Amino acid sequence: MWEHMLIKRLQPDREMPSIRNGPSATATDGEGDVAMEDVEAQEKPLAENPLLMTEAPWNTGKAREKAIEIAMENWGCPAFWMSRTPVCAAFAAGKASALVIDVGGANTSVTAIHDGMILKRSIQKSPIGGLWLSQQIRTMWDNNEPKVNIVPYFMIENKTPVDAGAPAQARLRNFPFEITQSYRAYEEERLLTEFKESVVEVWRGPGRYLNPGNEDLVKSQPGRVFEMPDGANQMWREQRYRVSEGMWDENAALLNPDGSGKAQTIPDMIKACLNAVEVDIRPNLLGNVVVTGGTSLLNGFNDRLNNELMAMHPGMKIKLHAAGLTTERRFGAWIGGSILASLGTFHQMWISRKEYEENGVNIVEKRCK
Amino acid sequence: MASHDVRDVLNLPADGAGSRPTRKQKIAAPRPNLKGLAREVQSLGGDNPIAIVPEISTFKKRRFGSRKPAAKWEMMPFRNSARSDQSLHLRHWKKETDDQSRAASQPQSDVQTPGGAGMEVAKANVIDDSGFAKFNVQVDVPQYSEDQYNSNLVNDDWTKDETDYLFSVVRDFDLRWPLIWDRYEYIPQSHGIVKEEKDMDGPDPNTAMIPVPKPRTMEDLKKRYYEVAAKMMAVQKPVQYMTQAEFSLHEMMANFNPTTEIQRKKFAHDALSRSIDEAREEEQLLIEVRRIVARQQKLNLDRQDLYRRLDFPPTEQDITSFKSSSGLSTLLQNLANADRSKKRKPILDTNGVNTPGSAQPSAHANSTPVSESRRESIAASTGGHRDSIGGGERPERPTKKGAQQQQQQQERKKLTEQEEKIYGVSHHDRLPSGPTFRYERINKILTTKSNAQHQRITNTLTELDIPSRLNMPTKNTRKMNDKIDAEIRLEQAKKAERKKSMPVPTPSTSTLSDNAKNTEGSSESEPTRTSETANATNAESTGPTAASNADSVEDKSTAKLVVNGAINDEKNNQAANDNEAESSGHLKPETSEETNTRPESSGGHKRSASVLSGVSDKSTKRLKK
Repeated sequence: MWEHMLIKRLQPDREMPSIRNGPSATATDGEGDVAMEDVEAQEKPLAENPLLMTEAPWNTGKAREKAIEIAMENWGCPAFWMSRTPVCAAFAAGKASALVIDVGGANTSVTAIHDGMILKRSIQKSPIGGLWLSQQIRTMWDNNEPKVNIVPYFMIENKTPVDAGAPAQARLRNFPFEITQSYRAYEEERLLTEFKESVVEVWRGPGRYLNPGNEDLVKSQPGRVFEMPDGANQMWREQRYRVSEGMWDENAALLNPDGSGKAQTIPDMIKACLNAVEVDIRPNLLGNVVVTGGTSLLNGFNDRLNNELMAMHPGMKIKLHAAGLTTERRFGAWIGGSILASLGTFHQMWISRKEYEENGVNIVEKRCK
Repeated sequence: MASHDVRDVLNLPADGAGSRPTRKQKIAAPRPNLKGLAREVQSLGGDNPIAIVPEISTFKKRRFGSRKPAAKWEMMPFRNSARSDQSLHLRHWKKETDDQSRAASQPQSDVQTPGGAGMEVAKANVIDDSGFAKFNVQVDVPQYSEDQYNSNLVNDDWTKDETDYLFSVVRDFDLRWPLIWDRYEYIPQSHGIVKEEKDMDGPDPNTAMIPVPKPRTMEDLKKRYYEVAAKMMAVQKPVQYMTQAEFSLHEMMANFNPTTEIQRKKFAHDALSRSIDEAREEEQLLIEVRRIVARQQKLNLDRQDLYRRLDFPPTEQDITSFKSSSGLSTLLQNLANADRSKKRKPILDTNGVNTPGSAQPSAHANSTPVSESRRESIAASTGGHRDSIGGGERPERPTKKGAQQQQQQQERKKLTEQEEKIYGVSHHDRLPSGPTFRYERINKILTTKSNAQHQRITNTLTELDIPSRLNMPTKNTRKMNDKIDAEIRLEQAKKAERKKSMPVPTPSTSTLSDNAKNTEGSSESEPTRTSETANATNAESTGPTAASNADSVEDKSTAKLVVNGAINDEKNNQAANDNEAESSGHLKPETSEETNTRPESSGGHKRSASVLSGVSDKSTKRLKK
């Protein structure tokens, strides 16, 4: 509800034409001016407080300039600042220098932070994240022996319990209107998220999951049962490790029908990231590894990461910092940004409206490095 | 089961039963307050109410009790003087103080009025500065002018543009080299006019080519920066005028060696990319090293311990107080005190022999207990020393020590002969304390005796007219004695002469020679005579010899009486012998006379030395005859 109100204020519905014809529409000598006038007339929803935004480290200069323009012109912020997500995540963990491994929904990034600033050359980005994992699960379900159909909750009218592996007995709901594709995708993602949270697990190591013997070991262990919305249920044993193994081992990734699926793995990214920074700061980075992002909450993720790092750098002191609470892990950047903005020494860094007016949009590139 | 049942089971008297019901009723009143407990469950507790339910009444009371009204906070605008743009006023929550609240109420009207330029100033005065502004520190990056660059800093590898760019990046990133290197993206000015102006001699194709940015390693950047910084430092302040810190900084920057730095990084890289086996081997080696070091440390500790035991306790004291003579004397005294109290022990031990220590089996007297006791005594002495230092009161020390030693006395063990030899321990009687007066010896006799004996002795002495203080011969008395002696001899010679002359009168000339002969003969015969007398007349006769040396008659009599008083101990004897050695036989005749005369002078006739003359001598001789 609150979120809705906020979005409404920031992105107001375009009901402006009526105002455009109003008394304020006096000077109309060009498109630009019309836009400006439009801006003048709009409500300035964030005029009260300075605004701190976080951005991906690979954000382009153009996008950043657009961001400050919107914040200053449309929202009327008195002051503005942009901070990089991994920097804020490192601050949330209480570090000024860290190797931030951010395993998010759309992608995973590994970034080295030195003294509160990202090292641009070290930025590594890979699509393996929550969505990639969902795709892996879909592929696995497709290839499963009784093929698993994804039927979101909203489509089920009623269901009867069935035995494991038996076909589902459920009556689907009929809608007199067409369900949009996006809503369907959203609901399917909800289901997949539930599966990820309750079933999927990361092979903790040592070694890779595909190493001989590991799979047999897992098969002998008790699995987990997952019941679909339509009542179909199944015990998941080795598959639940297999779907996440692609994050660590390129060969383990399940190939989609179109052949995609492989991506740069997390160990590869860490390796590439460390190779792109100075030798002197590598030990320090390895001693301050910050793990953040919702997908890093997968069971066993930190254990595996620690094992991989140990194998990569034997004899080094490796320390992982991962917030224990789910919320803190998911919104690490938000927490770090909140910490940053409340620092007393941060006040001198804000880009004020006056500075923006004097220097224009490129001030953001100069100041927010 | 209620408590009276328990009492019943245990056969306890139910005398409290009468009073209990009343108490129960009292407790019953608050019980219904306990929520969430069934009555049956509550009754299980019997007399003692069940304390499962936490009591929260106190909490509630405190909350609304005597409390000050909540502090007022208000959103206060503030500015930050570290900002280049002073117009930005941020706000934060601040505790409201009295004067602030008063001030806040006043400008409220001002705020509502449209802010003019004058208003802005007034507002800035009211708005306080952020406390964090002072933390805005800038890194000092050297600056150079165009001329300075051309005269000092020209480098083939670096254009001025790139140097400028480097310095701007350095300034931007506050000398954080990893960041500088990371963000260093110099794009050469596209074959600008600048370049053509600068090096006209350069070949045309060079300028025509699209300049490719040179890949710079961190060492390149550092080298250039340090080179420029060092040169600028020297330009601003010649090397010889630099302070020590400045000079060392200058030297460090001027001598920056990129190759060693690269080498170092290569080593670091190798260390990072070790294999598991190598890492394991290194770990094992490290463990080994640690073990060796630990062993070495232990050995050192042991050795130090040993040295500490052998050494004097270290003095942490200020020795200036002992540099004056008075300080030294007090120190000496203290040491002597300590020494005395220390020395008393072995004596006590040997005297009071066979205190528990010696009674113990000899097995105990082997080296370990001894070393223990030694250790303890050292520890005690050092401890005592520390105490004295801590207290700063030196006089207290001996007493403390004494107390400690009293305690320790029991721990002392008797050493075997062998051990005494090893440790150089020797026992002996108490040494006499330096020179004393001879006449004091009689006091010693008196003091060492018991009270009853003392009484008896003094009685005897007074009876015999012997003073408590004896008079001893001096040089003068001896001289006088010799004189008298010579006179006596002369008289004797005369007498003999007269005897001879009586029957056969001889010329007087021979008398002299005879006299001389006689004296010789007498002196020769004296030793034998003395020995005779000594033998014959036992101590009685020797005593008088000593006494007779004294001029005063009193002395003589006392000496005699001492003899008579049967207090003849070796000491007197010794004294007598000494006297004999000195004035041996000269007096023997006289002594014999004296012994003879003594009975007559039973009452102890007193004659003064001055009165003692040839006349009296004659009389005695007459008597002898």
